[in-house]
Amino acid sequence: MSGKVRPVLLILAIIVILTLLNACSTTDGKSASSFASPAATDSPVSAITSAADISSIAEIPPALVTREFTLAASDVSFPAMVPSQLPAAPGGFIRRWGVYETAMVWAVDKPELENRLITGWEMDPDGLGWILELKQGVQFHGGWGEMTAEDFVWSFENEIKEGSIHSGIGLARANEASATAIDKYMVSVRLTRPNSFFFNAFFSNGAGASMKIFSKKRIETLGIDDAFLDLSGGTGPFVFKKWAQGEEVILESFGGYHGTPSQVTTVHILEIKETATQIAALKSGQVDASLVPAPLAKDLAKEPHLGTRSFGIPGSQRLYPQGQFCMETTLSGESLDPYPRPGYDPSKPWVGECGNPVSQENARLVRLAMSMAIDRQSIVDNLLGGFGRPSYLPEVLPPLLDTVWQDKWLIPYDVGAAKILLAEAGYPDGFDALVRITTGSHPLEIEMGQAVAQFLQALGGDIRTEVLTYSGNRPSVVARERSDLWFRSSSAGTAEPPELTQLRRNPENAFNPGLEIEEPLAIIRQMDTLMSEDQLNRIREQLYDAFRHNQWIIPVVLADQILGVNTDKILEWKMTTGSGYLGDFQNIKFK
Amino acid sequence: MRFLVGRIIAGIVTLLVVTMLVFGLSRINGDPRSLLISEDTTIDVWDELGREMGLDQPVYRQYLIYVGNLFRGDLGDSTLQRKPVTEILWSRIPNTVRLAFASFLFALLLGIPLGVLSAVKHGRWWDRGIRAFAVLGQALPVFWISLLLIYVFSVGLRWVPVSGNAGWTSIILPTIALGWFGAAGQVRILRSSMLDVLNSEYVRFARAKGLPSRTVIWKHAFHNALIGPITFAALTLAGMVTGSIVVETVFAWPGLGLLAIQAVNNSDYPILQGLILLVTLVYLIVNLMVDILYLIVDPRIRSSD
Amino acid sequence: MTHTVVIGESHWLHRWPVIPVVMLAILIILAVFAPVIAPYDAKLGALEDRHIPPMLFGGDSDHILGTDGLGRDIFSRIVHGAQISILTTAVALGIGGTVGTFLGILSGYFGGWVDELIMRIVDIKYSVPLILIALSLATILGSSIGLLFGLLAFMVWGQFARQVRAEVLSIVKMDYVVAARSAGASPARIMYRHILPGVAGTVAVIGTLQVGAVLLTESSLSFLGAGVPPPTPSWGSMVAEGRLYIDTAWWVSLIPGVFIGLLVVSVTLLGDWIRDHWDPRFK
Repeated sequence: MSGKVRPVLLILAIIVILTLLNACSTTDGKSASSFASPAATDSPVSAITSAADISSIAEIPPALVTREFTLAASDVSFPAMVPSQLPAAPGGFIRRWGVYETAMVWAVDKPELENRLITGWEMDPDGLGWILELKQGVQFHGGWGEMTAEDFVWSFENEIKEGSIHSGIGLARANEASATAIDKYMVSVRLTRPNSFFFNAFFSNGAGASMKIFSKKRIETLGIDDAFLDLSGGTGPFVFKKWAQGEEVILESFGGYHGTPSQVTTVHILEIKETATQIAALKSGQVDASLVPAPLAKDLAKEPHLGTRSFGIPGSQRLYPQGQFCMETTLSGESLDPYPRPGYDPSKPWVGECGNPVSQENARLVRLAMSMAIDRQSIVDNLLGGFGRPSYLPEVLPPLLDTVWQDKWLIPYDVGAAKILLAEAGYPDGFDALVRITTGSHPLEIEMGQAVAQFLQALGGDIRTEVLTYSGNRPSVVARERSDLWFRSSSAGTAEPPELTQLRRNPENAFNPGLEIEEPLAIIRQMDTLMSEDQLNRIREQLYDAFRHNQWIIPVVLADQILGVNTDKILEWKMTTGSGYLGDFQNIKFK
Repeated sequence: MRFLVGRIIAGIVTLLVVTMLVFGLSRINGDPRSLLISEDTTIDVWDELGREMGLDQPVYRQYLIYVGNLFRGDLGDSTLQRKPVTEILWSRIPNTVRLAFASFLFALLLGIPLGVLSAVKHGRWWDRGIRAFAVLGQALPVFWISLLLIYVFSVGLRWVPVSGNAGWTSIILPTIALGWFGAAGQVRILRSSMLDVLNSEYVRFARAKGLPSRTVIWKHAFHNALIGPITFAALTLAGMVTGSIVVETVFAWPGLGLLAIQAVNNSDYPILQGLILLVTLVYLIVNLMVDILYLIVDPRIRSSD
Repeated sequence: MTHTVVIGESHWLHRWPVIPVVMLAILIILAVFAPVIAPYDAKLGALEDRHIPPMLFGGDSDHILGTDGLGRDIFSRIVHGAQISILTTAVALGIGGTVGTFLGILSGYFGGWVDELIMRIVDIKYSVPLILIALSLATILGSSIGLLFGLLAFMVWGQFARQVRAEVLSIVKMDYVVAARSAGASPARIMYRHILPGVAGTVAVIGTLQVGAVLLTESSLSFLGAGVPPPTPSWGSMVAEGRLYIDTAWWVSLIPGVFIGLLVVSVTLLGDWIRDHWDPRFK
């Protein structure tokens, strides 16, 4: 049969084709998706060429041995090196990883702001602005020259201009912020209304809106499109050597850094999505550090070469009872469109009818009952292995909490009392509900969300759960379409309370996690820069009282972040108190 | 020839149907702008971005524009990375091809000898052991096998790295994980084909004629037994898409499978659309090749077509 | 080429179906009587009871197979999961098999443009990467059992359609069918009385062979987040849930994995046996 020969030929053909495909497509990472740093010259060079060796700018002292450090991350997003194109997430990366810097940073040892790119600042007597004095002699990576007030002003304006997707624009526009260069190293920033959040939001490293200083010359020379992908132009202790989207990032220490040079010369950040693989990589020594889910921490610490510790600011895990859309206009009176919001559903027990005080009070009782049915301590002890603590206010700033905390804000765990409240509200047998758990923030998010649903089950109804990616869920939240219970997790917190973060993004109406409520916005509206700390704290107390009373957002727990490191290699690693996320590689001290 | 033309037309129709499907999916999900900008931007920023992304047109026009671009080889830009989808796909293809190639070879190199051995040593311990491996190999979830391999060989024995694409050793575990299923399948199919052939009149006759065992097995039995395994091989190649998504995720192998997961997590529909189109194209080509093979091999089908 | 069924050492072959049938029977009994057998609620647990090892490995008699990450009893989840996994497989194969067989019969019987159309649709179905569609749909709509049924049924119907069609093509040439046709019997009657019984064997074999594929796909989908939504237990999602603890609370993943293996092995061996003994022409 002639058929005998052909099948063999066909298999050989398949093998040959695959071999050819294989051979002609072999690259070693210098593919189009990875970005390369420019060649080391004084004149600016456009990017995406070969990955040139930048050791000539780095000027590594010969005595220093190359110290490499490898980190596992579950998401390596993309660079977008133009302020107006920089949404919060990758902006956070380039800031934390020490490539771009902000005016001030939170110190590592205490929750205080320290100067970084400025040497000092002063508030204007009318409380409507600040004068910032810039540090002199700060060099941009890639030979783009010295940082001056022009760069500062340019970065500011680019971040808040029309068409920008930066998360600081809401705050800036609401207060009509502007910046001007007074001198080569002096900048004046002015608002039309006093706002106590503005300074921290823009000039510290603690928030997604924090302003990073970009080189005006670089972006004007390269043009926005090329600058978007170009890897040069920061001021920090590290330079991007390579960025392969979804794979890895390589940082190299910058010899011309204006501050203390880093002991680490090269940082590899590997993206490993699967948590189990991350842990395996840590155990096998392929990476030197990684975040560790709480239940595995004790076990990991038993390995002789590994150590764990909690660090940074714990992430807030909370439940949003969505659908509370009772604002018809913004605080300033502009009407909201469409109204009523698509997601407004008064039949939901936690929503109630807008404008109906009885209905609203019942809804409040329902939310309170839900909150009281959650055994927060049990989640901390059992799920988080003790790495965390119950959360009673949607509030995560530990120092602030320490000084202003009052026990009246505690929420007792009492299912019996909760059921009585429910009966009062008209739901003696409980109610059915859907808990949506979004993923992508915390390795234990699904377990925590299920635990919450399990606790709510005790109230009598049927609680279903649904799991969705965060980005899959977001469009419907933005469109104000949702009225279910949304369990939202965060892996880390910022120096700013997260709900205040939401509020200061858009003080006019948005309280975006599926609710729009006037009362807390109005309280916060009272805060301004001219107030003393005492006055501010009194308003904060008002705010927290209101949150505790109404449970507009149901807090669950604060979950510590745990870092696992190779203790054979790493001696010390201090991180800024301002940001909960991993970074500050320049502070790593090796053994 | 008429057959080929018909298949090609059918292929194009398939691709269009698939594009419509995915295009529709992305529209159901909601407005892509919500993923790019914070919720508090003013309405003109929203509109401006919409104009830039072509979202101000009615859906059917957006679709037609998309298809028009397809014919020019333009798959659009990734919403997250703002880079052309073609560029991103192109950069990831080599890794997936390498993994598919290695697993394909692994499945053949492991499966064929074991299948033959099992058939020849039918009934004895060899056979039972190999059959056990084969059945087990097709009964365990891929991600489980992957994690197990990592824990035994990377963490436990430290023989190979856990993940990524860090050197030639990195491909070993993903290859085994991905090829395992194929190898097991090959063993079973080849074994059963071989057994049938070994007991056929033709082979008995050859044996009776006194031909040496080796000749009988390899020259006569093996070739005749190959049809099933070949079809299986071609189909596993196409079917490696599912497996590669899981394997690439567990091993952080930067290929198309991992790209798919990233695109889904980020709701990056241009990439997802491009990926689905690409995979569909590959499937169509492989199926076409298998059909041609059948035509060549079995004239009976050709005449009844 | 003649296809002779290998009898060989007959005692092996005759023994094989006993073991798979027994395993299968046990699993089905567990599934059917789950509400009675399960000592605890499969969906609710107490956080304090998190990760208790199985009885013989340091646990206690309260939870013979231990507990999972949320304190739920694993044995209860296994038997309820048996229900779900077997139900999922049965529904997927049921829907997919019915649709596929129906279309295959139509295709083989009528031939012509009907055949062309149906086969082209099958080609389209084969060309679409199911898993990517599944993930996209799960992202948009949220994962649900209904979605899962649909996806899995979609996965299998093509195989049925193709194989049944091939079978029908040879059946319609048989004398009794030709006779019935020329006698003026309606197509529906012929398909029901003559063709359907003829393809039953093929359908049964395909069905058993697909069980493994369906179960494993369900498991992979759960791993990727598109499977049975929590807290409903399915073996696949149980394995996925325990994957962080493979070397600490290993039983959470291992036990459901073993059960998946048992089910797939027994059904596959049974399918092999059916094929070897019942339908010798099947290749």
